[in-house]
Amino acid sequence: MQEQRLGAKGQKAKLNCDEMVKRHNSRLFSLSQGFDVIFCSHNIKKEHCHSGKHNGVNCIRTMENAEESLTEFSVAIKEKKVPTVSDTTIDTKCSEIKRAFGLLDAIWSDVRGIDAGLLPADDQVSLLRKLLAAAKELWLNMDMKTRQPK
Amino acid sequence: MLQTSECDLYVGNLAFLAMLIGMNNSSGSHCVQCEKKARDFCCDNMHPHEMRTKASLTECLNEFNTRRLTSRGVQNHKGVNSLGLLDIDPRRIIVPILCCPMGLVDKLLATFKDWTTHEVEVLPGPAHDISETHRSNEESHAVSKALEDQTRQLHLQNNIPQTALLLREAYDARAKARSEGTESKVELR
Repeated sequence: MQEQRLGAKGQKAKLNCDEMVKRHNSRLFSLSQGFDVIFCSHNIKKEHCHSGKHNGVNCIRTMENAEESLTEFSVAIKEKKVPTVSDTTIDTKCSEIKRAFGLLDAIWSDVRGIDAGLLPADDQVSLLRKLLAAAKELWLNMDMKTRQPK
Repeated sequence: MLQTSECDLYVGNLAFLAMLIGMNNSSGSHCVQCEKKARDFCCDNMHPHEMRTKASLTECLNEFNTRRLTSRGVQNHKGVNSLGLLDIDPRRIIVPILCCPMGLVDKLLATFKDWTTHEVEVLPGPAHDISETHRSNEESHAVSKALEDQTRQLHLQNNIPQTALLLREAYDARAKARSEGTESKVELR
Protein backbone atom coordinates (compact mmCIF):
# COMPACT_ATOMS: atom_id res chain seq x y z
CA MET A 1 0.00 0.00 0.00
CA GLN A 2 2.79 2.36 0.98
CA GLU A 3 4.66 1.56 -2.22
CA GLN A 4 1.51 2.16 -4.25
CA ARG A 5 1.13 5.59 -2.65
CA LEU A 6 4.76 6.47 -3.29
CA GLY A 7 4.48 5.09 -6.81
CA ALA A 8 1.52 7.38 -7.45
CA LYS A 9 3.61 10.39 -6.39
CA GLY A 10 6.47 9.32 -8.65
CA GLN A 11 3.99 8.88 -11.48
CA LYS A 12 2.77 12.44 -10.89
CA ALA A 13 6.32 13.73 -11.25
CA LYS A 14 6.72 11.80 -14.49
CA LEU A 15 3.48 13.26 -15.84
CA ASN A 16 4.79 16.70 -14.92
CA CYS A 17 7.99 16.03 -16.82
CA ASP A 18 6.08 14.67 -19.83
CA GLU A 19 3.93 17.81 -19.87
CA MET A 20 7.08 19.95 -19.82
CA VAL A 21 8.51 18.01 -22.79
CA LYS A 22 5.23 18.36 -24.67
CA ARG A 23 5.12 22.13 -24.17
CA HIS A 24 8.79 22.56 -24.99
CA ASN A 25 8.52 20.51 -28.18
CA SER A 26 5.66 22.68 -29.41
CA ARG A 27 7.88 25.78 -29.35
CA LEU A 28 9.29 26.93 -32.67
CA PHE A 29 12.93 26.95 -31.54
CA SER A 30 12.86 23.43 -30.14
CA LEU A 31 14.87 20.60 -31.64
CA SER A 32 11.71 18.55 -32.13
CA GLN A 33 10.37 21.17 -34.56
CA GLY A 34 13.69 20.99 -36.39
CA PHE A 35 13.30 17.21 -36.69
CA ASP A 36 9.82 17.67 -38.15
CA VAL A 37 11.16 20.03 -40.83
CA ILE A 38 13.84 17.48 -41.78
CA PHE A 39 11.26 14.69 -41.88
CA CYS A 40 8.96 16.81 -44.07
CA SER A 41 11.80 17.39 -46.53
CA HIS A 42 11.92 13.59 -46.95
CA ASN A 43 8.14 13.38 -47.33
CA ILE A 44 7.74 11.80 -43.88
CA LYS A 45 4.65 13.22 -42.24
CA LYS A 46 2.78 12.92 -38.98
CA GLU A 47 -0.39 10.85 -39.22
CA HIS A 48 -3.47 12.01 -37.33
CA CYS A 49 -4.83 8.46 -37.41
CA HIS A 50 -1.69 7.28 -35.56
CA SER A 51 -1.90 9.75 -32.65
CA GLY A 52 0.08 12.39 -34.55
CA LYS A 53 3.16 10.18 -34.84
CA HIS A 54 5.34 9.40 -37.83
CA ASN A 55 3.74 6.02 -38.16
CA GLY A 56 1.80 3.90 -40.63
CA VAL A 57 3.30 4.13 -44.10
CA ASN A 58 5.70 6.78 -42.78
CA CYS A 59 7.59 4.22 -40.72
CA ILE A 60 8.65 2.57 -43.99
CA ARG A 61 9.84 5.96 -45.31
CA THR A 62 11.63 6.61 -42.02
CA MET A 63 13.61 3.38 -42.41
CA GLU A 64 14.37 4.04 -46.07
CA ASN A 65 15.57 7.60 -45.46
CA ALA A 66 17.35 6.97 -42.15
CA GLU A 67 20.84 7.50 -43.60
CA GLU A 68 20.12 11.04 -44.85
CA SER A 69 17.74 12.17 -42.11
CA LEU A 70 19.99 11.00 -39.24
CA THR A 71 22.94 12.83 -40.81
CA GLU A 72 20.83 16.00 -40.92
CA PHE A 73 19.59 15.38 -37.36
CA SER A 74 23.20 15.16 -36.20
CA VAL A 75 23.94 18.63 -37.63
CA ALA A 76 20.75 20.08 -36.09
CA ILE A 77 21.51 18.60 -32.66
CA LYS A 78 25.06 20.00 -32.63
CA GLU A 79 23.65 23.51 -33.12
CA LYS A 80 21.49 23.27 -30.01
CA LYS A 81 23.46 21.02 -27.69
CA VAL A 82 24.61 21.67 -24.14
CA PRO A 83 28.39 22.24 -23.87
CA THR A 84 28.93 19.11 -21.77
CA VAL A 85 27.92 16.76 -24.60
CA SER A 86 30.63 16.22 -27.21
CA ASP A 87 30.13 16.02 -30.96
CA THR A 88 31.54 12.49 -30.88
CA THR A 89 28.79 11.37 -28.48
CA ILE A 90 26.14 12.77 -30.82
CA ASP A 91 27.74 11.15 -33.88
CA THR A 92 27.98 7.81 -32.08
CA LYS A 93 24.35 7.91 -30.99
CA CYS A 94 23.16 8.91 -34.47
CA SER A 95 25.21 6.10 -36.04
CA GLU A 96 23.72 3.60 -33.61
CA ILE A 97 20.16 4.69 -34.43
CA LYS A 98 21.03 4.74 -38.14
CA ARG A 99 22.29 1.15 -37.92
CA ALA A 100 19.16 0.06 -36.08
CA PHE A 101 16.94 1.61 -38.76
CA GLY A 102 19.12 0.03 -41.45
CA LEU A 103 18.74 -3.43 -39.91
CA LEU A 104 14.97 -3.01 -39.53
CA ASP A 105 14.76 -1.90 -43.17
CA ALA A 106 16.79 -4.91 -44.29
CA ILE A 107 14.58 -7.29 -42.26
CA TRP A 108 11.44 -5.67 -43.64
CA SER A 109 12.73 -5.93 -47.24
CA ASP A 110 13.79 -9.53 -46.75
CA VAL A 111 10.48 -10.60 -45.24
CA ARG A 112 8.52 -8.96 -48.05
CA GLY A 113 10.88 -10.05 -50.85
CA ILE A 114 9.07 -12.27 -53.34
CA ASP A 115 11.74 -12.30 -56.04
CA ALA A 116 11.98 -16.07 -55.97
CA GLY A 117 8.25 -16.67 -55.67
CA LEU A 118 5.73 -16.56 -52.84
CA LEU A 119 7.75 -18.77 -50.54
CA PRO A 120 11.17 -17.52 -49.37
CA ALA A 121 14.30 -19.06 -50.88
CA ASP A 122 16.93 -20.70 -48.63
CA ASP A 123 19.37 -17.80 -48.99
CA GLN A 124 16.61 -15.35 -48.01
CA VAL A 125 15.87 -17.35 -44.86
CA SER A 126 19.57 -17.57 -44.05
CA LEU A 127 20.02 -13.80 -44.50
CA LEU A 128 16.92 -13.13 -42.42
CA ARG A 129 18.30 -15.22 -39.55
CA LYS A 130 21.55 -13.23 -39.59
CA LEU A 131 19.73 -9.90 -39.74
CA LEU A 132 17.38 -10.83 -36.90
CA ALA A 133 20.30 -11.91 -34.71
CA ALA A 134 22.18 -8.67 -35.39
CA ALA A 135 19.10 -6.49 -34.80
CA LYS A 136 18.21 -8.34 -31.61
CA GLU A 137 21.75 -7.95 -30.25
CA LEU A 138 21.79 -4.23 -31.06
CA TRP A 139 18.32 -3.70 -29.57
CA LEU A 140 19.29 -5.40 -26.30
CA ASN A 141 22.60 -3.50 -26.17
CA MET A 142 20.73 -0.22 -26.56
CA ASP A 143 18.75 -1.26 -23.47
CA MET A 144 15.42 -0.43 -25.05
CA LYS A 145 12.15 -1.90 -23.96
CA THR A 146 9.23 -2.22 -26.28
CA ARG A 147 5.49 -2.61 -26.00
CA GLN A 148 3.50 -4.81 -28.29
CA PRO A 149 3.73 -3.37 -31.81
CA LYS A 150 0.32 -2.53 -33.21
CA MET B 1 -7.54 -17.31 -43.79
CA LEU B 2 -5.09 -19.11 -46.08
CA GLN B 3 -5.90 -22.73 -46.77
CA THR B 4 -3.27 -25.10 -48.08
CA SER B 5 -3.31 -28.85 -48.60
CA GLU B 6 -1.49 -29.41 -45.30
CA CYS B 7 -2.73 -26.79 -42.88
CA ASP B 8 -4.62 -23.55 -42.37
CA LEU B 9 -2.76 -20.34 -41.70
CA TYR B 10 -4.28 -17.22 -40.19
CA VAL B 11 -3.44 -13.67 -41.21
CA GLY B 12 -4.88 -10.33 -40.11
CA ASN B 13 -4.50 -7.28 -37.96
CA LEU B 14 -2.94 -7.96 -34.55
CA ALA B 15 -5.97 -6.81 -32.53
CA PHE B 16 -8.26 -8.92 -34.73
CA LEU B 17 -6.06 -12.01 -34.33
CA ALA B 18 -6.09 -11.48 -30.56
CA MET B 19 -9.90 -11.38 -30.61
CA LEU B 20 -10.00 -14.56 -32.66
CA ILE B 21 -8.26 -16.51 -29.88
CA GLY B 22 -10.15 -14.91 -26.98
CA MET B 23 -7.74 -12.12 -26.01
CA ASN B 24 -10.03 -9.08 -26.19
CA ASN B 25 -8.24 -5.75 -25.61
CA SER B 26 -5.04 -7.63 -24.73
CA SER B 27 -3.04 -7.11 -27.94
CA GLY B 28 -1.33 -4.01 -26.52
CA SER B 29 0.47 -5.82 -23.74
CA HIS B 30 0.31 -9.57 -24.38
CA CYS B 31 1.87 -11.63 -27.15
CA VAL B 32 -0.64 -13.67 -29.15
CA GLN B 33 1.84 -16.47 -29.83
CA CYS B 34 3.51 -16.90 -26.45
CA GLU B 35 2.60 -16.12 -22.85
CA LYS B 36 5.02 -13.24 -22.37
CA LYS B 37 3.91 -9.80 -21.27
CA ALA B 38 5.20 -6.57 -22.81
CA ARG B 39 7.83 -6.04 -20.12
CA ASP B 40 9.33 -9.47 -20.91
CA PHE B 41 9.52 -9.04 -24.68
CA CYS B 42 13.20 -8.03 -24.76
CA CYS B 43 14.60 -11.43 -23.92
CA ASP B 44 17.20 -13.72 -25.37
CA ASN B 45 15.46 -17.04 -24.93
CA MET B 46 12.07 -18.46 -25.73
CA HIS B 47 10.98 -21.74 -24.15
CA PRO B 48 8.72 -24.05 -26.17
CA HIS B 49 6.38 -24.51 -23.19
CA GLU B 50 5.61 -20.76 -23.27
CA MET B 51 4.06 -20.99 -26.74
CA ARG B 52 0.28 -20.67 -26.79
CA THR B 53 -1.76 -23.67 -27.86
CA LYS B 54 -5.49 -24.42 -27.88
CA ALA B 55 -5.04 -26.26 -24.58
CA SER B 56 -3.15 -23.39 -22.93
CA LEU B 57 -5.84 -20.92 -24.06
CA THR B 58 -8.50 -23.07 -22.40
CA GLU B 59 -6.43 -23.34 -19.19
CA CYS B 60 -5.98 -19.56 -19.12
CA LEU B 61 -9.70 -18.97 -19.70
CA ASN B 62 -10.60 -21.38 -16.89
CA GLU B 63 -8.13 -19.66 -14.56
CA PHE B 64 -9.56 -16.26 -15.53
CA ASN B 65 -13.12 -17.43 -14.80
CA THR B 66 -12.05 -18.84 -11.42
CA ARG B 67 -10.30 -15.62 -10.42
CA ARG B 68 -13.20 -13.56 -11.67
CA LEU B 69 -15.43 -15.23 -9.08
CA THR B 70 -13.39 -13.79 -6.22
CA SER B 71 -12.32 -10.45 -7.71
CA ARG B 72 -14.19 -8.36 -10.26
CA GLY B 73 -11.02 -6.35 -10.91
CA VAL B 74 -9.32 -9.19 -12.81
CA GLN B 75 -9.23 -8.25 -16.49
CA ASN B 76 -7.63 -11.38 -17.94
CA HIS B 77 -5.27 -14.25 -17.23
CA LYS B 78 -2.15 -14.09 -19.40
CA GLY B 79 -4.19 -11.96 -21.79
CA VAL B 80 -7.06 -14.43 -22.19
CA ASN B 81 -10.52 -13.25 -21.10
CA SER B 82 -13.13 -14.80 -23.38
CA LEU B 83 -13.94 -17.63 -25.72
CA GLY B 84 -12.24 -17.29 -29.08
CA LEU B 85 -14.33 -16.18 -32.05
CA LEU B 86 -12.99 -19.14 -34.02
CA ASP B 87 -11.58 -22.46 -32.93
CA ILE B 88 -8.09 -21.89 -34.29
CA ASP B 89 -4.63 -23.01 -33.26
CA PRO B 90 -2.52 -19.96 -32.23
CA ARG B 91 0.58 -21.71 -33.58
CA ARG B 92 -0.92 -21.28 -37.07
CA ILE B 93 -1.05 -17.50 -36.79
CA ILE B 94 1.26 -15.67 -39.18
CA VAL B 95 3.01 -12.70 -37.55
CA PRO B 96 1.35 -9.50 -38.84
CA ILE B 97 4.62 -8.08 -40.16
CA LEU B 98 3.51 -4.49 -40.77
CA CYS B 99 2.80 -4.19 -37.04
CA CYS B 100 6.45 -4.99 -36.27
CA PRO B 101 8.17 -2.05 -38.00
CA MET B 102 5.34 0.23 -36.87
CA GLY B 103 6.03 -0.57 -33.23
CA LEU B 104 9.82 -0.77 -33.47
CA VAL B 105 10.39 2.32 -35.61
CA ASP B 106 8.12 4.33 -33.35
CA LYS B 107 10.02 3.10 -30.29
CA LEU B 108 13.39 3.96 -31.86
CA LEU B 109 12.25 7.47 -32.77
CA ALA B 110 10.72 8.05 -29.33
CA THR B 111 13.92 6.87 -27.60
CA PHE B 112 16.06 9.07 -29.81
CA LYS B 113 13.88 12.12 -29.19
CA ASP B 114 13.85 11.48 -25.44
CA TRP B 115 17.63 11.30 -25.49
CA THR B 116 17.94 14.61 -27.32
CA THR B 117 15.44 16.37 -25.05
CA HIS B 118 16.71 15.10 -21.71
CA GLU B 119 20.43 14.81 -22.33
CA VAL B 120 21.54 16.98 -25.22
CA GLU B 121 19.26 19.92 -26.00
CA VAL B 122 19.62 23.26 -24.23
CA LEU B 123 16.34 23.75 -22.35
CA PRO B 124 15.03 27.01 -20.91
CA GLY B 125 15.40 27.45 -17.08
CA PRO B 126 12.33 25.78 -15.50
CA ALA B 127 12.18 23.04 -18.12
CA HIS B 128 15.87 22.31 -17.51
CA ASP B 129 15.26 22.03 -13.75
CA ILE B 130 12.38 19.61 -14.24
CA SER B 131 14.35 17.52 -16.69
CA GLU B 132 17.45 17.36 -14.47
CA THR B 133 15.48 16.44 -11.36
CA HIS B 134 13.49 13.83 -13.21
CA ARG B 135 16.65 12.32 -14.69
CA SER B 136 18.46 12.14 -11.35
CA ASN B 137 15.32 10.58 -9.79
CA GLU B 138 15.19 7.97 -12.51
CA GLU B 139 18.87 7.17 -12.04
CA SER B 140 18.65 6.86 -8.26
CA HIS B 141 15.51 4.73 -8.61
CA ALA B 142 17.28 2.42 -11.07
CA VAL B 143 20.28 2.05 -8.72
CA SER B 144 18.10 1.35 -5.67
CA LYS B 145 16.01 -1.15 -7.67
CA ALA B 146 19.15 -3.02 -8.74
CA LEU B 147 20.33 -3.07 -5.13
CA GLU B 148 16.98 -4.40 -3.98
CA ASP B 149 17.09 -7.17 -6.61
CA GLN B 150 20.59 -8.18 -5.46
CA THR B 151 19.54 -8.17 -1.82
CA ARG B 152 16.46 -10.25 -2.63
CA GLN B 153 18.64 -12.85 -4.35
CA LEU B 154 20.94 -12.89 -1.31
CA HIS B 155 17.98 -13.34 1.01
CA LEU B 156 16.54 -16.16 -1.10
CA GLN B 157 19.89 -17.98 -0.95
CA ASN B 158 20.54 -17.52 2.79
CA ASN B 159 17.15 -16.76 4.35
CA ILE B 160 18.51 -15.44 7.67
CA PRO B 161 17.35 -12.41 9.75
CA GLN B 162 20.34 -10.30 8.66
CA THR B 163 19.51 -10.66 4.96
CA ALA B 164 15.84 -10.00 5.74
CA LEU B 165 16.85 -6.74 7.41
CA LEU B 166 19.04 -5.82 4.44
CA LEU B 167 16.14 -6.54 2.10
CA ARG B 168 13.81 -4.36 4.17
CA GLU B 169 16.32 -1.49 4.06
CA ALA B 170 16.78 -1.88 0.30
CA TYR B 171 12.99 -1.87 -0.14
CA ASP B 172 12.68 1.33 1.88
CA ALA B 173 15.51 2.96 -0.07
CA ARG B 174 13.79 2.16 -3.35
CA ALA B 175 10.45 3.46 -2.09
CA LYS B 176 12.18 6.66 -0.96
CA ALA B 177 13.89 7.09 -4.33
CA ARG B 178 10.52 6.70 -6.01
CA SER B 179 8.83 9.23 -3.77
CA GLU B 180 11.49 11.88 -4.36
CA GLY B 181 9.98 12.45 -7.77
CA THR B 182 7.37 14.68 -6.15
CA GLU B 183 9.96 17.34 -5.45
CA SER B 184 10.55 17.86 -9.15
CA LYS B 185 7.29 19.74 -9.51
CA VAL B 186 8.25 23.18 -10.76
CA GLU B 187 5.66 25.58 -12.11
CA LEU B 188 5.36 25.31 -15.86
CA ARG B 189 5.17 28.38 -18.03
